[in-house]
Amino acid sequence: MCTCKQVERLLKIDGKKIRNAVQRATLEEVLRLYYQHPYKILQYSAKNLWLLIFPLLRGLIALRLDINELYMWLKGAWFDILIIIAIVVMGYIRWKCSYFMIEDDSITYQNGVFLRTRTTIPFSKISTVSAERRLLYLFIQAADVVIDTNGAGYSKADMKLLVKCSDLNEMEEKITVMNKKEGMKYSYKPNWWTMIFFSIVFSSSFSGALYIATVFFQSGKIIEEIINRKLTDTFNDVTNEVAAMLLPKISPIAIGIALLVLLSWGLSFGRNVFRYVRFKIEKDKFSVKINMGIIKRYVYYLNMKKINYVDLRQNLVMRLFNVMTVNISCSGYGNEKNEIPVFVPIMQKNQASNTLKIFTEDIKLHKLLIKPKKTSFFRYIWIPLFLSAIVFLASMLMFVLFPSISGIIRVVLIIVEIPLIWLTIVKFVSVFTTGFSIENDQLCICYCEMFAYHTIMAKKEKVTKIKIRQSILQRYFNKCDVIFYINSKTTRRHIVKALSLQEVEKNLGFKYIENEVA
Amino acid sequence: MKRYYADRAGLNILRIIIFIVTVIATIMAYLYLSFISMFMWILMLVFFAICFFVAVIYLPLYFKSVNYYATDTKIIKHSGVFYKTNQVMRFDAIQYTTVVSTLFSKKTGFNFLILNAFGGRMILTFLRQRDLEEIMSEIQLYK
Repeated sequence: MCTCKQVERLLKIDGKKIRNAVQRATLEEVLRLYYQHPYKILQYSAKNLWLLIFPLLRGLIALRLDINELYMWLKGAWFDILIIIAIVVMGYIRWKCSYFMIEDDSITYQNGVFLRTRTTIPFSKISTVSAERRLLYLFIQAADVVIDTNGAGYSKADMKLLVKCSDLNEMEEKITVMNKKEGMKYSYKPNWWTMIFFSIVFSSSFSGALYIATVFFQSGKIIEEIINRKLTDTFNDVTNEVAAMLLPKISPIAIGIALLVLLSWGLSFGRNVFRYVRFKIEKDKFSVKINMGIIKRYVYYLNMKKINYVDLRQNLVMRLFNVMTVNISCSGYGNEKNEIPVFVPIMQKNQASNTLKIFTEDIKLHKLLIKPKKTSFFRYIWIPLFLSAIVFLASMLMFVLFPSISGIIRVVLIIVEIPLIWLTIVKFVSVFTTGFSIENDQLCICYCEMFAYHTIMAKKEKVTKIKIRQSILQRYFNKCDVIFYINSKTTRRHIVKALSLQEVEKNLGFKYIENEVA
Repeated sequence: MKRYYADRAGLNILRIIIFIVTVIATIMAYLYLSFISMFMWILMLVFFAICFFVAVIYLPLYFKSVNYYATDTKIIKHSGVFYKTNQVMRFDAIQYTTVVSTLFSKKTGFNFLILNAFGGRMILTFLRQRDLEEIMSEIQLYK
């Protein structure tokens, strides 16, 4: 048996002769074509199949055990059955035409029947390989494998395969980033309570509410109907009871909203617990392996060289307790909606330097050299403060115009004002923690985005662009905002506000001249 | 430095496809819109005008304008009918490649190569099979 490279070379030298001589089966054997898991046939056919299968099954169930009735049913449904067979056959042909090859230094995936697409990813360019196993996949011995690079492709994942577990094991041996022959040097497994705390901190009612909305939209009219007919009545009863018992002055609608927010938060919390509780991180010389998930199991293999930056994240509560979460930017890890690119879930600030030294050797924490002056605090807090005032004035106006619904207005006012005031406090605190420094080819940026404090650490070479921005007022006070753009699959901005222009120019080594950076 | 052009076979195939689509659209208009003859004739005229513009003016100009240069380290694409654009991509910046080809692409020249790099992509259209393989082998060196 010769290697893939040798076969490729042979095909180039005398392609026609060999192609004629070697049968496809032999070629498959030599090149070792890996087919996806046969469950993929069902996935390929599924979209169209369900539309036809249910009416057919309903007809079949309604039949009595009579050969004449079966004949009559077949006479009426033969066309539908033919369509189902055609869909499944088409699914099978698509599956048979979709295969991947693992060569010496790259992986190639070919798919499509009439329009063939052939994607080749060199091992050296892979940033992340993830293997995802749902509950069903545990029974059928399959896994969703996603391979990602820093390349700007058309879809989120550069290569997505449904593979058999035996093939996944072979992939682990052959693909450099997945290969763990030398064994793991370090491993870290946070305890159960740490992960529960992490799930509480990062469970947002907003994402939960979005989740509910997505479920409703996706599930279509069946759920909508159930909710309209049954749940609305039950929900009204519950909210009426709670309102009557606990808060007689607050309307049932307001209680209903509050319950919905709580429910959505609970959902978000539950999802985070199920996803992150089995979290374990292992590291060897070149790559990192991350395991997580209870019901749906995830394994991520990250290429250390492809980590774009490290992000130490905190919110105000975490800052008070001096704890933080280490996130990373690496294409393919934590890029999906509701995913957190977590590296170390929770750690004390004094552990940060040591942990970073172990897991991200090249990237270090530096002291901030350029910071905003404390007198610039208004630049940080004016937006939430302004919004808070607007909401307050608008609700006062609503009280005068619609006194009959004052209960609802009061609740809405409280619901909207609390996060705005909280945001104002968060932004005020950020004045004391914001800044940046560039030292020894390392960049360190501290800033606040919405409710989160970020400390970004990256190598200088990963920075694609630095922009200096000045408003009319800032021009007068000789201040500026600095925007850093750092390499990743999607360009992300990191904004440090209200810095002294002179200090920035001195530290960055270039001058700001009328909207242009010279 | 080697220069590659778009395969002219692709142009002729596209012309045939466009002509067939136009004829089908015209027949449909004749069959279903004959009760408003004025509108039908205008629609038929529009179909043929579009067909003429695309097949006789735009596509030949497009095929003439598209060409690629491959040096040792980078690939350069010149294209554009009304607006000329030049794209340069270093081979070592390419993260992965995707080849899209139709059936009988060796004869029709319907081979497309998508080069996905850090922060952007370059699409090389209507490549001859031989040219595609040559460019791919150049890229292989930078694995």
